[in-house]
Amino acid sequence: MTTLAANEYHVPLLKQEDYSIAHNQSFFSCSKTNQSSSAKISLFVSDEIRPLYIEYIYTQHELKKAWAETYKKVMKELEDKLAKNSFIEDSLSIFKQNELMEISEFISLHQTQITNNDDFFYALSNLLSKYAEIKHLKAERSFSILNDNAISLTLWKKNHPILKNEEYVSKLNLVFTPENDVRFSSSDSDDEDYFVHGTLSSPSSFFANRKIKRILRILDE
Amino acid sequence: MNDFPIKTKHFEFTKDESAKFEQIMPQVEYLLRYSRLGEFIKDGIIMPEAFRLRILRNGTQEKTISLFQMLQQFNSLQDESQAFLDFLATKKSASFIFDNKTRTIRLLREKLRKACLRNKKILQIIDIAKTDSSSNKQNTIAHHWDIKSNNFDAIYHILSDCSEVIDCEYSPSLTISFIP
Repeated sequence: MTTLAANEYHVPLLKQEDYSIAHNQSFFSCSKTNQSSSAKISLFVSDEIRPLYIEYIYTQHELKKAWAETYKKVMKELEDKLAKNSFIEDSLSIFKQNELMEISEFISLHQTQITNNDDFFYALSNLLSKYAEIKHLKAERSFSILNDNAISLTLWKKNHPILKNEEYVSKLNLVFTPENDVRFSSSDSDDEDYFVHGTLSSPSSFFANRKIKRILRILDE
Repeated sequence: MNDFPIKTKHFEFTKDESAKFEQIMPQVEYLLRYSRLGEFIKDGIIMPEAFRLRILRNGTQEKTISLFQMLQQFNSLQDESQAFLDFLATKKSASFIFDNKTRTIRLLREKLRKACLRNKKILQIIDIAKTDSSSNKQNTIAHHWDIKSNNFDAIYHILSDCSEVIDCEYSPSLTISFIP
């Protein structure tokens, strides 16, 4: 809220002295002298934030549309080479030509572990159908190939909590299987008890695969 | 107001579960595993991959997820790490790489016990096959683990969270003297 209020394009509905964010509670409270502010706040949230949110969703959709073209092109090129013995070398050059250096480097590093090209092709399709969401994620990453030709991706991110001083690391492991499932598990370095795991049975429609965002949000503070 | 714990039912092992855990993790504080900076350890964080079956230098895959217990006493964890890696380097079958990126990670019993309490599924899918000490003297220090995994992938993540990196650069020429 304070960031928006400080932005020259958004005229603050409230003055800073009229509200506060309690340090030990994650809610927004108003001073007793300005009880009507809560109404202003809800207006502020719905009127000011909503258009920004719509704009964000629209941008995301445009990015996904652009990625759809890349996905179709790359998958077609990979499929044409699938029956050949040189599938792995061919896929390396396909990813390079399409400027997908991260994927090409990962295959180049782990290619000896691929035992079934067909399975790996479908695991790649699983990953690439969700790559628009993963590509720009602000997190460190590490790929590998598993025994069943599934692709494992570990993401980790340092979080700086607003209400606490201590920094911690969130870790998320995603396993993309040839069957289009994503097995996931996540933990935080600041809490031994916290652990989350499960399986996302991915939709078959390309655009519905954006639902991976819901899993990626696990990394947020 | 300060933070405070919420009311939670206390986790406990049943007799059988407790016996199974004792079988999985013997009465030692930690078990050791070979690892590598940049591959299984990144930014000091242990990847779940550190506990999967790995491809050895000769192109074959590890047969079991092996963890080791050193029987000797050492002055420090660093010395123990060095001695452990020296021991591995002498094993012909290992064919790991031993250089300045080689590290030891240790799986901590207490952390694993807590993880098993919260996630009792782990008890069902880990099997330990202890090396028969009478048949091979050199193997008396080794505990071999067989982890059945693909039905519960999250186990590798849990094992990596229950582990720590021993901060010690491996040097092939260093010899650690044992404490008698």
